[in-house]
Order: sequence, then C-alpha cells, then structure tokens
Amino acid sequence: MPRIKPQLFWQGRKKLGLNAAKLLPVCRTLESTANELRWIKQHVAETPSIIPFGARVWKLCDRRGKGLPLAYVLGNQPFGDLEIKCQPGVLIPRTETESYTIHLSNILRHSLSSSKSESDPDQHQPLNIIDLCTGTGCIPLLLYSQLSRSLPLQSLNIVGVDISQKAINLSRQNLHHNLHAHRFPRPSSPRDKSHPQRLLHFHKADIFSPTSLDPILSTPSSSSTSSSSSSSSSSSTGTGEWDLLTSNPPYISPSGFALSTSRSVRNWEPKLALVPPVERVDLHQKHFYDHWYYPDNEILLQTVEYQEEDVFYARLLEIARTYRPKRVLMEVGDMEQAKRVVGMVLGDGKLRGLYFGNGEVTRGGNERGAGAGAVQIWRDDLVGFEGYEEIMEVGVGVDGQKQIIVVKGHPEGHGRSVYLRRVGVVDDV
Amino acid sequence: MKTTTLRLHPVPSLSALFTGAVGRILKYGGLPFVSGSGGGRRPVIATSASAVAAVAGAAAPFTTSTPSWLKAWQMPPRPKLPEDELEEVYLKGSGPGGQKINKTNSAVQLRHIPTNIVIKCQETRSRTQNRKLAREILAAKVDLFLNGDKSRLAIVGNVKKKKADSKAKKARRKYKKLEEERAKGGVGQQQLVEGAEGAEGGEVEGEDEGEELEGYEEEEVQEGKEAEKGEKAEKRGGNNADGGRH
Repeated sequence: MPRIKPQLFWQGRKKLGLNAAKLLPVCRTLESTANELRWIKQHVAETPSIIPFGARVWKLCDRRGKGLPLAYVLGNQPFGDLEIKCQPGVLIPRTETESYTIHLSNILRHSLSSSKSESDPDQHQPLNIIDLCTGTGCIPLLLYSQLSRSLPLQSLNIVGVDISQKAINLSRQNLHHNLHAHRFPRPSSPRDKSHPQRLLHFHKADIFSPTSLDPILSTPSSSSTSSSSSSSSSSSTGTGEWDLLTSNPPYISPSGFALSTSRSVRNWEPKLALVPPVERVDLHQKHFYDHWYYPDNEILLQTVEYQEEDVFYARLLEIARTYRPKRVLMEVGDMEQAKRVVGMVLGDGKLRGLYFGNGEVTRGGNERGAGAGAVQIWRDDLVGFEGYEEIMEVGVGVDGQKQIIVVKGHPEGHGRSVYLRRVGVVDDV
Repeated sequence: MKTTTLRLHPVPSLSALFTGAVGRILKYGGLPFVSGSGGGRRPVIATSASAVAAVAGAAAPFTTSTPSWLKAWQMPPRPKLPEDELEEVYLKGSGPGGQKINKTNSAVQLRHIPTNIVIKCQETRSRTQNRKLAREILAAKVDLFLNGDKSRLAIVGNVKKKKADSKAKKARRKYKKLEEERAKGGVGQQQLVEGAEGAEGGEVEGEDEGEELEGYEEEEVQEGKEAEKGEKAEKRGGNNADGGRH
C-alpha cells in the first residue's frame, strides 16, 4: 500500500480539523475522509447523549482510525431503504448485495403482478422465500420491505437461516428496529387469519446438517399449510414449494482471505461468514458420496471435485436439487467462481434438467421460449444498469450441446451472483 | 417567456451559471433541496423530444415556466426528469468487491443525456438515497439550464433574495434612525421605539447599542457597494442563491 503524503495530512487538518488526521490513514483520500467525517458527525448529532458532541466525534474517529469498519463504529448500515444494525461478529451488508436484492424483488414483483392479472386470482398462495446464511437478515428484510410495498395483497412467507446465534439475534433485532421506524408493515402472527398473511422468521440451523435444516425446508409455509391442508386443492396447486432460495454464503478461499481481502475485513469481520471452514470440505464430500452417488448419474462424480471455497455452493445446489425452488440466487466472489458454480449446475444431470431445460427448447434459435429455464450471472451494480446484457454459450456433455448463459450488468463489473430459474417459471421484466 | 435559442454551448448569460456544469462533474457537499418530497403535481420538465429540440436550437416551450394555475404565493413545482433521459455513469470500484472489501463509497454519478449535464452525489451512506438525491439535484440543474430565469431554482432564489433584502433594508433604516437620534444627543429610547419600525427596537439595551451600531455601519458599507451593482447583481444572486452548497 503506498504511503500517504504528509502534505495530505496538513491539508486534511486545515480543511477538516484534527479528526481528519485520525481518519486519513484508513480512508486514504481527502474526499472519502470528508465524507466519513460528515457521516460520523451526522450520526452523533442524531443520537442524543450526555457526552459532549466533540468528545463523541473524537472517540468514533479514533475507533474508525484503528481500522474498525464504519458500520461497526456507527452500529448500522443503510441497506436499500432500511437501516440494518451491525455488530462485530456478524458480516456487514454490502452494497452489491443490496443491488441484486432490489433487482430480484423487481423480478418477483413483475412476474407476480403479471401472472395475477392473467389467470391466477388466488393470492392466498404465499410467496415462499428462504435465505440461507442470512447474517444480519438484510436480504429477507429488504425483500419483505420491497414486496410488502409493491404487492400489498400478496401473502408472504420469508425465512432466514443462519448458523450463528449472534446473527439470528441481530436479525431479529433488525426486524424490530425497522418495524419501530415504520419502514415496513408488521408481520402477521401465524394464528392471525387476516388476508395478506405476511410471515418473517429467523431460525438458527446448520445448513450442512440435514437434521436441523430439513424441518425448516420441508414445510415452506408451516402455518398456512396446516391451516389449508384440509382443502385438497392446495396440494394440487403446489403449496409447499419454495419460490425463491437466496444465499450469501462464505465464498473466500483461505489463500484469498490472506491475500485479497481488505484489512478492515480481515481484521474485524467474522471469518465464519467469509471463509468456508476446511473441515466442512471433507465432511461434505463424504456426505456427497454417501447420498448422491447413484449409478444412473455418472456425471455427479465430476461435481464432487470442487474447490474448497465452493463447498457451500455444492451444498446449496444439493438443497436446490432436493427441494426444487423456482428461483435460486447465490452470491459469488468473482466471475471465475460464478462460472464454476454454473459448471456445477451443468455437471449434474438433474439440476441441468431443472434449471436449463433439456435443450429442445433452445433449438429454435437464441431466443428462449417462455417457460424455459434460465441460468444467469449477474454482475455488480445491476440497479441503474439494467440494459446491459451479454450472452455466453457453453457446451455441455459428449454431444457438445450448447447452453446459453445470460450475463447481466455493466461489463466492467465483477461477477457477483448466479441466478437460476426453474423450467416452467417465467420472469417478466 | 424567454425565446433565446439554447445551444449545446449555452448563451453567455446562462453560461455564467453553467461554466462548471456542462460536460464536467459538479460535486455536491450539500443539497439544494432536501426538505419534503414536494407537494402536489410534479410535471416532467420536457419530454425527450422537446428537450433535444431545445438543445438543438428550436425555441420549444417548457412546462415549468410559471404555469397559469399557480397562485401568486406558490412556487413552481419541483422538476422531475423522465427516467429514459438519464444515464447512470458506472463508477468502477477498486479491487475485488463483495465480501472481500468493505467499501464505504456510496457515490452515484448521473448524466442527463440531452444536455450532457453530469452530477455526482455522495451525500449519504445509502446508495439508494444518493440515487434519489442525485435525480432531484440533476432535475433542478437541468431545469435551471433549460428555463433560466423561469426555473424553480431561480424563482425560489429570487424570492429568498427579496425577503433577505427587505429585511436588511428595514434593519438599516432602523439603525440609521437610531444613530441619528443618538447624534442629536441623549434622546430617550422610548421615542425611538414609537418610531417607524415598531416593536423590535424595544429590546435594544443601552449598553449593547454602541457595539451593534458599529457592526451595522460596516455592513452598511458593504451593502452600499452591492447596491451599486444594481439589478444585474440581483438577478445573478437570485440564480446562484440555491444552486450551490449550503
């Protein structure tokens, strides 16, 4: 890292005062120093305390100057139109996550409002969403906020799952925090029979342990299925399907953690949320062999050889394979990892059938017919750059069948997430 | 209604305002308009076709130039730009992004395609919020660029300037009188209070008077200079008033 010129300290001190000298080593430029100082001062001015203003600003600048991320210093981070509380020990929500979550909620809104107008007037069918490795709960909360506003009559059932008790506590705090600020309507209680039944829950579970995760996954709408199980129509229309599975799992390799993470991430954010633990790799490979290796599915053998930072995707795809969610969105580290994940989907016959279709649909040309599945890679900053799209073709299998992958987002952005849409599901954007 | 043709390089009177705006990035430390979301209707400044036409040189009428339905005390509505005239400029972050870094950069850069005005907004920590603010600021800028003196920014600025001017004028008159009375020698304050300006003067304490008078003399000199600049200055001041940082 290049040295900061002493001149910059003088300028900072002259323009912004003594606090700037504290922030400058972390912020590196005068511009971002000025911004962070302004945000710190705003935060102090907004939160009442008996400690004098100047002293509080000084203290916060001091903590920030030691490298603590700003979100931990101030205790919150804006996420969409929400304010997410942050505590050391739980990963801070990133702007990239915000961007694709908003895009995702737009997709859901458009596809639901169009399908409603066409045929299906049954809005009692809840929209089932599950977020694994939820952390602060930012994705479920933002989806809840956006969907309850854009689809006021739609029943929702949103679940967040995390392995850490601290994260679960924080995500529940976040729910109440935003509720008190009237940022979204109150979720209905399970016994409440009012019409748009909106549920939002957070559960502690280890996604690698089937015993703790399966009870959550097997009953998407625990309350509404039990209440509507008496009517036989519910099973035929497909209650008990997950409409969306999202996840922002740990995806950094141990070497990448040492080399390519920024200092504030490496020193202050929880490694649990960033790097998949090594023991998981062995454990899961064993699990994979035991449960997945069937003689009719030779291709599976290839997918078992994945890199250690991809272990969560292997597990997430295994879950997708079993529970067949209509849409899946997984955050990834970069384009390479995104391609590896797409490769994992292609490598598995069942997943390929679910999310790519069987190839017959694509014969007609580049335009995929409605109802065909889709595998997309989304780049950084989708919101504001919706127009950008590239098409990538990949050959699959022995006969070299071409499959189309759409890459969305500004061409300069990093690959940020992999989006899967099941065959038969239509996005209307 | 101004019928001057607007070119890509604006006419001098307008370019005085926009030397920094066209083709360059205006950075906002503060915001011109934050309070509220603006009541009532928000007419779109100009459709894509008419804005392009205006820039190309046709004298197209713009909808925000004091419409007839406005009451005398009402300000023109806050301008709003149609989404298809805007282009967000991609700000490439350094390094890998995602979980690997923890950037606090939430800046949004926005370009208005027909006029090529670019602004950058990093007022808040929330990118969503910055995106909204950037649209408001850009709309105000484009409004000012296209409508000049008839724009909301200019009109609001003028009204504020007038109010400030009349306040200053009143104060000046009052203290001038006060000074005159003093010069005559020890005339009681009560008479002063009953004089032209009424109630406010009553609070002036005898001891403070001297200091305040001196302070006002200085200001008076400055204002005198300003007055010399006359009407031009007022117009310019009105335009500038809300354009920049607060």
